[in-house]
Amino acid sequence: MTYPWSSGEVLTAADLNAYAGLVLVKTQTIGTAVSSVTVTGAFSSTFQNYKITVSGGSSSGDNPLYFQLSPAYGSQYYYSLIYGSYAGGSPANANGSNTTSIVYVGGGTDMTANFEVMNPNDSSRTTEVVGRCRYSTVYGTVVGHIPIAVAYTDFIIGPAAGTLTGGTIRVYGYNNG
Amino acid sequence: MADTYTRDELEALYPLGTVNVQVDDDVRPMDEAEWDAWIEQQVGTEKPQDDA
Repeated sequence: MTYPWSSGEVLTAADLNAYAGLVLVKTQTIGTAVSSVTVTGAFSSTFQNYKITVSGGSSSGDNPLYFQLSPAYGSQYYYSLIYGSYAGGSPANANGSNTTSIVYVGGGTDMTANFEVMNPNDSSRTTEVVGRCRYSTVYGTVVGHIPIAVAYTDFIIGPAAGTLTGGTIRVYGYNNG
Repeated sequence: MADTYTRDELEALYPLGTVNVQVDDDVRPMDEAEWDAWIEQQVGTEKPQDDA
């Protein structure tokens, strides 16, 4: 059946599978005073690409959030953050190479995040991460690359400094169609 | 340049037993070795600044 639906049409499982957009894959509540949260079973072959959000909690400091696939398989993470300040001044860059995580996928005292992860469960392709970060006076967007092609199922997030308390991590899969 | 944390300040801020690690719904306190490594990793991180 073809979208848009018409009154009286009967939707089948195939229709719903074909036209689902973002599908909630996993919801994880964050505990109290945790330095990191490992989320297992988030990625699978059902979806090629994912959106991850973090909201509703707090951080012990005003810091950025990091993202790491699990297991990390060594220090081969690359990222670049282009950021500006609400106070003005020229844009600047923060970056990392041969690190163990991608920093700046979120941040702030309320530790919010909204970023996308491409190909994490595809062992024939490397993983890319695109996100945005706000903490302190830093407002920016980050692109990261994890060039180790492994069918990852798990990931870890945590504050670059301090701890997290409360809030929810939500993992959505983009329907492959 | 923002002020940064020393190890003594971090140990006072996050005593052993007060920092947890989480795997899915399982939250447990760091053991001493984990806590020691984590504290060491935090040394030199910037202290919070007042927002404008």
